[in-house]
Amino acid sequence: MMADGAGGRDGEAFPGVRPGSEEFPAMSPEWGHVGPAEFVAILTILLAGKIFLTFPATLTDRAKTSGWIVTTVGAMLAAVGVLIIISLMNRFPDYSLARVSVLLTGPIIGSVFNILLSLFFLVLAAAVLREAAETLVIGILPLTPLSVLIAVMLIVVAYGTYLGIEAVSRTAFLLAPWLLVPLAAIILSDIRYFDLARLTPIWGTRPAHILWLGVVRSSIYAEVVAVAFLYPALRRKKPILGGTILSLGLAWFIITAVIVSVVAIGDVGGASRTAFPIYFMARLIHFGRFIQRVEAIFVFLWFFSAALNVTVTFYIANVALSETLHLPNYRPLVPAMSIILYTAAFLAPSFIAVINFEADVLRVFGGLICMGIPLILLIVAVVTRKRQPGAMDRSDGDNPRPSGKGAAMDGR
Amino acid sequence: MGDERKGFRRSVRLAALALIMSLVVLPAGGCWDHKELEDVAFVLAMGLDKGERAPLRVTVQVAVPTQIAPGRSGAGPGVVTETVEGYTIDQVMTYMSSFHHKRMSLEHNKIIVFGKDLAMEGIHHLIAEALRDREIRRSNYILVSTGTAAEILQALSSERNPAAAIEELVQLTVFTGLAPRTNLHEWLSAYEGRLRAPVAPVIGPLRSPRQSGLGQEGGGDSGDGSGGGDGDGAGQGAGGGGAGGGGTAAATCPGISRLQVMGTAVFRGDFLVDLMSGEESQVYLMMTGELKRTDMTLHIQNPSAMVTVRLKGEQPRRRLTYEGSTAKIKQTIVFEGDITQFVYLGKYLTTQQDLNNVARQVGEHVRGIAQELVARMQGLGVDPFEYAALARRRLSTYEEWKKFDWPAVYRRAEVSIEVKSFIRRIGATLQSLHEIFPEGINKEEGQGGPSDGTGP
Repeated sequence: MMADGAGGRDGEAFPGVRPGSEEFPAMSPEWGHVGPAEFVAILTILLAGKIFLTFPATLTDRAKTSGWIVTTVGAMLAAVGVLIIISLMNRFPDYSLARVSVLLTGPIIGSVFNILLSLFFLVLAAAVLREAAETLVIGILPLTPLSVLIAVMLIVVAYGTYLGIEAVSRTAFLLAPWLLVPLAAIILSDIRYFDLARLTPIWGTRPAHILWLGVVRSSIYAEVVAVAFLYPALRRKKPILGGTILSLGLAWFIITAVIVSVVAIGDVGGASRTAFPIYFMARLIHFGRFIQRVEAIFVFLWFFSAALNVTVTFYIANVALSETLHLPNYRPLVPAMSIILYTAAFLAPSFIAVINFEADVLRVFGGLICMGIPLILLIVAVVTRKRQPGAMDRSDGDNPRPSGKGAAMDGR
Repeated sequence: MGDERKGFRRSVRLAALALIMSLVVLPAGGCWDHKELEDVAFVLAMGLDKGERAPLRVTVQVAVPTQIAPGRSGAGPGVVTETVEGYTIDQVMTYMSSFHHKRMSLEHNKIIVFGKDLAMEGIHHLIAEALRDREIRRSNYILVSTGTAAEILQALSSERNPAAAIEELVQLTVFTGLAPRTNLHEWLSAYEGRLRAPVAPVIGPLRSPRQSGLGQEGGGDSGDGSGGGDGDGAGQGAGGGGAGGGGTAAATCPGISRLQVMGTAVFRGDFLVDLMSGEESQVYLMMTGELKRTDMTLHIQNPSAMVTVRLKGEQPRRRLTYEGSTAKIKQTIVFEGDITQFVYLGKYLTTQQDLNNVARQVGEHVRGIAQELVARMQGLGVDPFEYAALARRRLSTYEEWKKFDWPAVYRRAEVSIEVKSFIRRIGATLQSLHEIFPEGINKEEGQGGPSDGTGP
């Protein structure tokens, strides 16, 4: 009934698979609806949220003075990845990537792809959760048990995931200015410590190595594959390419500005030795007797950026798994997956193990998973000329507004 | 019936939401690990010296909250000073907590003073490891004592808030230009980045003019720059221009403070290797572009006068070229000045040529100090002027920079100093009485006037 018999010419419907059919409803009510502004906000926070954790330190450690080149090369490659993802999703505007992979490659290979995606996002969520909690322990709440902090954050994450992507994206849109303005304030407040000589020599570890790092570390933006999971929820499909590129551009700007700032302020040694460079920048703020010790205000940044980040990655992990298990709705998975996430967050024996795992495993192989799977699927779709019936029209237009009461929100 | 059920569901939902919010908000707000103020002993200033029975002797000033509050002055000292020896700062804090019946906290510490002996043995390990502790901030000011750090902290212990007094002394360097202002972050960045040798302001007990070697000659002569040559006394050794760069002035105002912040401690790596005098610090800050403003007093010739010039620092220009393996550095110091005091000794300033003459002489004075300073630093193999940045920019990879032996290149470098100085204003007085009454206001003055221009 699924992709087994699927095939045929470009634009031909999948035999037995119709949007709106019981097996593959055109748009599961669980998706909710995401507007263009919310889409840009959630994607930017998802891509750039890592700057609040150890990412600037690990990147500076690997790329020395050329972190900004690595992020730039990575962003350019990610833009290519965006084109691949959107080309693929334009063929299946009502389906998520997880469903598309089953439709195109069959239940076995498709499920393998989905499990890989689900696992990647689950592990990423666990790593971010652990790092964020460690930040709070090291910086703000040294006596609070790690388990309490992770549990508290997990409640927020699980509840957000349960509410659905619409609620999360709206929250992201509301919080975006409150995250961006303090971040800009931190950087501008420390501008007196800037020494641009610290950004030299420009070619860091050497040109070829930096470009190679840019390729390998394009997985900095691996989360951009979230577009393929948000796609069905977008109310209007037409601006998605512009919106995704805008998000990628904003994320690149934020990440690069932070990388440049931490190196210009602390040199390579200082930037790569400091666990949370943004936190140390916030602690440097000192304007006379009255404006100092302001980092408590910025705790807001850490908590909410991490919570939003983990919520979206956890949401994708749930959706990918629910598609693999042929569940009509991902929500029954949330409690069980939350327990797995909680446990996974404690698997690393130490904070340093989490940092190394994220930098050397997740951020290296993440790109292969997040860019490789859409590329394979696009090739299969092009070769087999498969696409959702009416996809050409739909990808340029709007999602039909759900008519049923309650369907417009999130299926509750 | 249906409405009742809906209402009940809504109530349950609201109650669940309130519970979740409470669970989230209460621990996130820090209630979990709250500390009562009266249970914590806040350290305001910390001094680190070489220990006798352990490597480290830590002296701390702990706030006495009931005395330190504004309006309580006179009721007793605002701090208690304690000293304990140990291996690490954290270990000492733990020991102190054991007899202080309060938990020691460094969260409000603002000042770290390193004793000279300890600084000469290296301090990086102390600074870098201290910063692992979340309580110690990178914005803490650091100073190097001419003696022990303990004596510095004990010197002001009768004051209500000695740490604030030291902090103010450090902050006043923006106006005096007699010392750099360095915090932990700046020191550590300099050490780890190798762009410049780390420096720190020097703090020492105020000495009498006789002790400091100043004042005996009254600052009258243009001097040979040896005014402060008492060996350890960077702060006192501000005699370069004859007027002592502030040492004399401070010494003649007893009671303001028994400590003074003057001079620059220079480190090679993390070892203290040299102390610049107050006037050398002024010129050093001009060379690095960090000088905001300073007053420099010197004896000029033709017209013969003691002149105080308020200098405003400008960004210096520096250029590095290589001739073979020899580095050639050209440093241009640029400053503008206003004449704030002009002790008339002969012909008054009436023409632009006079102003140019003063500017030239101030410039020459600055250049002389700068050249002497650079030569001394080259001899020591330390580069506090950040010339290394010029070399670093010319390299293409960070690995090259790591392998680059800048100290060796710097020692052999030919450094030429050029000074561009301008005097723009002469204060609110345009003419001297001498111009109006060439014969003097009274006979004695007219007869005894210093028209011969020979000075005092």
